[in-house]
Order: sequence, then structure tokens, then C-alpha cells
Amino acid sequence: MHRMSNEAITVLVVEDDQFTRTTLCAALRHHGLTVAGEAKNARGGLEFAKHANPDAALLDLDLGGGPSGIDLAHALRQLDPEIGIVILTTYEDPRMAGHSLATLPDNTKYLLKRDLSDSAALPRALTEAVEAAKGQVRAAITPPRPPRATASLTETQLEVMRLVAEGYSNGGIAEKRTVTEGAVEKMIHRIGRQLAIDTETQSNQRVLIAREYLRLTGAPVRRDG
Amino acid sequence: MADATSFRERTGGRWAFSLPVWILAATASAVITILTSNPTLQSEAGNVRTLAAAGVGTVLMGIVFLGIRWVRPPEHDLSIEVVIALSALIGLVRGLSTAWLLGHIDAHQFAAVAQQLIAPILFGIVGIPIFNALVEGVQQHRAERDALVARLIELRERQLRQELLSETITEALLANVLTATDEARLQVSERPAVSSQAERQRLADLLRATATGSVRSLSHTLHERAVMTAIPTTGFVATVRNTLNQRPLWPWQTSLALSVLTFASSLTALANLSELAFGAVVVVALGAAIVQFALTWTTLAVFLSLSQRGFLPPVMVIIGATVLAVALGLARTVVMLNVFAGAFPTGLIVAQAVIATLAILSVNLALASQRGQAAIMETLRHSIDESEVDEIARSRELARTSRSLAQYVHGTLQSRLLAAALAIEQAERDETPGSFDAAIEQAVDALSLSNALASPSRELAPAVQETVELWSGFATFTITLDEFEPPLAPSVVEDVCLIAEEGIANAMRHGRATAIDVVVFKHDDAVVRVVVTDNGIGPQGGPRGFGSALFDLSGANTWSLTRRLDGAGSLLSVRVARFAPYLAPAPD
Repeated sequence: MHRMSNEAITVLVVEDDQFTRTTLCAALRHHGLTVAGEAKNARGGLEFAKHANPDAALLDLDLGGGPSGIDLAHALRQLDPEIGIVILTTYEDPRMAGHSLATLPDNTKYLLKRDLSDSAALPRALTEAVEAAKGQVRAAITPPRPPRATASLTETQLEVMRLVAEGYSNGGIAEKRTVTEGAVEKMIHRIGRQLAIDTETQSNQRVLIAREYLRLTGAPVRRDG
Repeated sequence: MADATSFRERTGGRWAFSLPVWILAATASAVITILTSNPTLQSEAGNVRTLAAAGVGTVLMGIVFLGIRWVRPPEHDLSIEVVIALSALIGLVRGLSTAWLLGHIDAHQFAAVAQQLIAPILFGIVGIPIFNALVEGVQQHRAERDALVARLIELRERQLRQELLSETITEALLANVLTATDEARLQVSERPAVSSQAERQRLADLLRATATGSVRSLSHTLHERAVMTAIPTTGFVATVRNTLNQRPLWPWQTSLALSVLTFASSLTALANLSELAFGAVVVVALGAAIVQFALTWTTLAVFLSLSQRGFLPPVMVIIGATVLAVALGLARTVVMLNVFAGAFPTGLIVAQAVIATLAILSVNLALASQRGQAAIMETLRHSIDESEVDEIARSRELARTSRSLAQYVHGTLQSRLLAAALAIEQAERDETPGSFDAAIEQAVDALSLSNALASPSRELAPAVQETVELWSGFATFTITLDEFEPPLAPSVVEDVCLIAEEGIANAMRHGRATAIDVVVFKHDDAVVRVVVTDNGIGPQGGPRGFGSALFDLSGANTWSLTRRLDGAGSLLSVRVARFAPYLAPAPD
């Protein structure tokens, strides 16, 4: 199997935070990749890609206002079917950021920021993404799977989790979702069961659901003990 | 010639002063003219001529009202003095036209002309307030309500901001953020690059200061929608009922109105029926008016006193006072006609009974409506000031704060922590002297932005333009914005942009749109409407699947997502309450 060298890859970096963007570019350069361009939003990234034709794109999922990293990924894929795409995010489950799994473009590498044990993970992910997009590695990259804990949760259930984490009462959630309080209570109970939160032994189901939600969205959560 | 839309906009916005007034004036003036004109003319032919004369005046009145609206569009209130003056002028023209149709003017006809002059003035005094209350109700007092809201907000804004920051729940929120940043600090400090205790401590202090500073730098501004929500909807009936329970009668105003009517009708009747000289007729009519004033005032004062002491309910008071005042007035008329004219025209008596009854009810109901609205405003002032505004505003600001904090913790802070760690890691591998210290300094600078959560302070046009431009390249856009005077408050602009953002994202992601129109216009004085249309495949899944952002921004019942009328694409329409125009961004 042919494996591309880092030097051959030109990368577009799209990240809304300047400090983070600069640091990511420096890390990529350090590992021998060529940063062909950088942009702070999807519009700038798309404009650049039209002219520079990079091999790969490292995209932050949440780009502030406007199109997200996934929106840009679709546009880039349409522009160049062979471009390697890595989406960098704090969201363990893309549905937490308002995107369904089905909306992710094919052969897109979904990289969690918390999994960046060292900066070498970035060039590795980009190389894999380019190879997958060029068809050199069959099924090297599969669409991101939601964490096992939330895989069975529906988007409605995730939304209820969010509202629980934001401190809404059952009444508040019912009002927002235009359902009855009883329906909300049942849904929360079902979520707890699917997350293996046993109401018999766990003292506060809502707190644990909120905690799980925060963990999935990348917010640091105090560890037990 | 102006087009129909323009004409409707300029004349139809407030029909109280145009078509309904015109119809009411036509009816009232025709009835009054027929019933109280020269009894010798109350033949069939005379009535036809009188009606014709009334019609001429009424047409003129309508033309003038519409003309006024044309020159001075509905957003400008027309002062009642102007209406009365114009009514008097029209009445004069109508009276002269009556005389012209009758063929001559003599002393008797002069009295009829004088009455024609007085009737529209009375209509202006009595009819206009009633119509204002009926047609426009509380809406007409929006300016007054805005002023109330302004005063409330001015009083409570600073105090509430302080309370908000010290609220237990806010402290808990802040504690959560501090906990989160502590955990983040631990994650970073566990990395080998940040190994020294001093650096760890420095970073921890920095993160804590960042989170605390961010929370305190939030600009808490009260939202008018919170206040608007607290104000219940009131109508004419509720207003009148409310006031009748407090004060059902107004003796002075009612007596004055009846006296003027008495003077006019007595002048006409005596001039035609008696043998008195015209000067004597005027004196007697004046005397009748004074007597009528005394009778009416005494009657109403007695009933008002009974009401205030709780002897009679308000409805019984107003009915009893009306019946007695009308009966006494009729007795006074009968005596006057017997003494000075030796006649007893039944038509005149019946007309007086009808007119007096209508006058008493009209005056008191009109005053009740005005007094009731003032009373409701006063009640609202107290109820709002006590709790509702505080609670609603606090919850809204808390939601806004939570949203900002969540965005900060999940987005900016996380990214920067990662970047800081990467930078420090790279620096550690770099053998250049001082690179590690430089990386630490760089990370410190990046994490020390205390204004990360500052509320944006933007104007509508550039803000919407900026929101839409983020999507340029993904679709084509058109933007249409109303001009708002005074300008929309920054928080409303923020909401409008969030809605536009939500609409565009929905059209792009779910509607596969390639062309999107964003329209922001003035729905009315209190509401801004944001409309986003696209050429995509139309709404998918209905509003409930659309997400909760719009619920957060506008409430469940103030937005809709439907298919466009032409079937191509979707139409998102959201109503947003305007900030009070006098609200400036709150100081930090």
C-alpha cells in the first residue's frame, strides 16, 4: 500500500480562534506538513480552497457564527472529492453540536480534541484522511460512531439531556417541547435507563444525566473521588 | 394619483378618525337634526330637506377627515382640539347649507344654524373619546405604556443587575464555571510541558480570573419583552368595568354636556314655539341650561355618594342616575314650554329623552374608559415593580448568561486550552533558548481575555450583513431591512442575528437552498419580524424538529416555519419584541 509522506500534503486550517489556529499551524509545520493556508471562518476557507486546491483540510467543528466545520466539509467535498478532511472538535457525539450523523461527508475523520495526546496525532489523522479520500485506504475512515453510551439515544433525547443539563425542570422542558410533564418524566427515566443510570441505586438521576451531557460536549467534569 | 396601497397606509391605519367617525357622524347628526329642528319643518318634505342638508355636511366631514389623514398619517396623533374645531367648522357649513336649502335665514333659522354648530362640537367632545376607546382601546396608549416601562426600567436596571450577580443561582453557575476551569487547569497541568508548581499555580489563577472576570463583565440589560410579558392585555370592556367599580359617575362633566344640549334645544324650541323676542329666548335658554346643570349635578352627586358608600352596585348607580336625571330634565322642559310657549310638542320631548340618555351614558362611559386605562396602568406599575419584571428579566438574563458561558466553556476556553498545551509541548521540544517561557507567556495572554463574554454592541444593518456574509459562497443572499427609529437595542440586534443565523443554517442544512432572502421589518411599534425564505425543498419535519434555539429566542407561539406560498422552499417567520427604545447598553 502506498503511503503518502507528510511533506507531500498541503493543508488548509480553518479555526475561528486565532491563538488556536496559529498553534495548530505551528504544530503541523513542526511535523513536516505544509500549511497552504489558514482561515478563521468557513467563508474564508472555501474561498481559499477554490484557489489553492489543498490536499487536506483541518476544520474546527464549531466556527462561531455562520457555517460549521461540517457545512464547510460538504462544500469542500463537492469542490474536490479527493480532499482529505479532518474535523477537530470537543463534541464526542456530533449530534451534540446540532448535526446528525447522517450529515457528515464520507471519508471524514472526526478527531476529538481530548484525544490529542500529542501533536503528532494531527498529521496522522490528516494523512489517513487524504488516503481515504483518494481511495488508497478502503474504509480506513468510517463515519464517527457516537459513544456507546449515547448511541441508542435519539436526537430528541439528546435535546432533553441538554435541557436537563441547563437546569430546566420537567415543567420547563415540557413547555419548551410542547409536551406534558408526564411525557418528560418518562423520557428522562428512559434516558437514565439507556445510560445505565440505575434509579434504584443512583441517588440523583438528573444530576448524572447532566454530568453525562457535559462530558459528551467536551466540558471538563469533576471526577469522582 | 396615489396608488391604493399608499392611500390605505396613509388613511387606513387608524380608522377611528376616518370611516367609523364619518358613519357615526352621519347617523348622529341626521337623527339630531331631524328630532330637534324647527317643529314646523317636521313634515315629510322638511325631513327630506333636512336629511339632505345633514348629508351635505356629513360628506364634507368625511372628506375633511380623510384629508387630515392624508396630510397627517396615522402615526401622528391628531389632537382632539383640531377635531373639535373642524367639527364646528363643518357644522357651520352644514347649518348654512340647511338654511340655503330652506331658502332663507331668519331669527328662528339662526337658532337652527346655531344648533347645527353646537352638535358637532358636542360630538367632538363626547364621540371622539368614546371612539378612541372603542376602536383602539389600550393600543392607543402605547406611548403611555412605553413611558411606564421606561420609568420602571430606569428604576430597576442597576439594582437588578447587582441582584442578578449576587443571586444564589448565579453564584452556583459561577461556581460551576470555576469548577470546570479548575478541572481544565488540572488537565493542562498534568501535561508534562507544564511541570513546575509555580507555572501550574499561575495557570490556575489565570483561569479562575478569566472565568470570574468574564462573568462580571457581562452586560446585563433588562429586556422590554420581559416587561411586556408582565403587562396583561386589557380591553375596552374590562377597562370600563374596572373603573365603574371605582367611580361610575362624573357629575361635573355630565352636567356640563347636558347643559350645552339643553341650551341648544331650548334655543331652537323657544325661538320657534314662543312669542318671545330673540334676546329673551337666549336668556330663557341660558336659564334652562343652568337649571339643567343643577338638576343633573345634584342627581349624579347623590348617586355617586350612594355608590361610594356601598349602598348601590355600579350598574344600578349609573342606571338610576340616568333615569332620574332624564326624568328631571323632561320635567324641566315641560315646565319651560308650558310657561313660555304654552305648547307641548311630543316629538321634542321624546327627542330630548333619547338624547339626554345617550349623552349621560356616553359621557360617563367615555370618562370611565379613560380613567380605567389610567387606573390599570397604575395597577400595573405596582404589580410589575413588585415582582414580575424582576423575575422575568432575571430568568432571561440568566438564560443569556448561561448560553454565553456554555459557549465560552465549550468553545473558546476548550480550544485555547488545547492550543496552549500544544504550544507548550512544541516549545518543550524546541531547543531555542527562551522558547518555553515564550510559549507560556503566549498561553497566558491567550487565556487572559476578560472580555470574552462581552455583549456585542452593534447596529442592525452591519450586524445582519456580517451574519449573512459568513455564509457567502455557500448560497446567494438578499437582505432587506426596515429602518428603525430609534435604532434597535443591541440585545434585540443580537436576537435578530441569531434568528437569521438559525434560519439560514436550517435552509442550508435541511432545505438544500441555494438562494436565501433575509427580511427584517417593523411589524408594529412593539414587534420586529424576521423572515427568512429560501428556494430549497421546503420545511422538513415541522417546527418541533427545528431545534430549540428559536424557542429560547422568541417563545413557542411567536414563530412559524411553513412552505412558501409559491411552493418553492420554506418561509421562517419570527416575531421579536423590541427593546424599549430608550434603553442604551448597560454600563459594565
